[in-house]
Amino acid sequence: MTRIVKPVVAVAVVAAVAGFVTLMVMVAYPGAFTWTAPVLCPADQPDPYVVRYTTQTRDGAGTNFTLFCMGDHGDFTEVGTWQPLGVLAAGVGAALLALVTALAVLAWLSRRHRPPDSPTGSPFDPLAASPAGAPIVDPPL
Amino acid sequence: MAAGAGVLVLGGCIGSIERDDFDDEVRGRGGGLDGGLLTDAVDAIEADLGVDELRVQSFEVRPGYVIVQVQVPADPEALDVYRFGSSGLYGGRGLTGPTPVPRRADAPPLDGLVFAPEDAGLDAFDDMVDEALEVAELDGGYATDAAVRQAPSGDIGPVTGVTVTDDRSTVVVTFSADGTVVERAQR
Repeated sequence: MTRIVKPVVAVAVVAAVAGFVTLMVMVAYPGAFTWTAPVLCPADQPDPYVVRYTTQTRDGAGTNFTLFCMGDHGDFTEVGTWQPLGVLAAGVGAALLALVTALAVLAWLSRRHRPPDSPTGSPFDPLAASPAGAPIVDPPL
Repeated sequence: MAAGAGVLVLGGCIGSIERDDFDDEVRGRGGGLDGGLLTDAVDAIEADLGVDELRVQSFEVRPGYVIVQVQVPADPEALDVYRFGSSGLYGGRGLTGPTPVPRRADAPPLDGLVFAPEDAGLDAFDDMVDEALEVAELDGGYATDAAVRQAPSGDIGPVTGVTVTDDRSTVVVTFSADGTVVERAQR
């Protein structure tokens, strides 16, 4: 049971952290939407633009950001807001997952290569290090 | 605290542009009329109507969207209008309609006004816009809109009129379906 729960919890935590990091990046730098252009823009409209516009809400005015893809003739397609956010979050999530997986593999490897504990004590134990039955003699001064 | 908020607000604009600046970029590249929207609109309307052969009275093309007047398959003397766009910010995304078009009782029969989209040279639309920009000879000119409809006279079939402006002058360049310039008119 723990074997299933642990990865599920890890993925959920990574997803939550990825969502939070993506939102923070967007607040600080809306131009990050343009990073998703290779995935979301059509081949004939490769140039990304993040357009901001004001909308009226019940609480007043708000600013929206939306990704546009533009072609050589000024032809354009609006991708929107949620798709770039999703792709960004997926990218951040994948990077975090790769990091966590790499750390887990490193931890497993270090455990695997640790020398096993000796049943007779420390390898530096002079009693354990001496041949069986050999008397331990103090070296001559 | 105030400095932090200022940084956040300033940061919130980095990498984005105002809509007016985006419009300037569209005009700088020629105006943004897109032939792909025409063919996509035809496909979407045919799917909506469940027919393979559409009969159209007109296409009106603007940056980001196209308005199509279509003969109603079940009533050959009735027209419906559809709108198909690539942006919610510019006239709506996807297909909207149909909306009935009022017609006068003494209006001419529709059969002489409608045409099949494949007879209108839609595949050459982008080339027509490029040529219109050259033929118009307006420094800094850009295409504002285009219309595809049956020629008012003669038997040359559907024609495409592309309007080019430089904010001081306006020129309409008209093409036949094979992309030949039929007329250049300054307005």
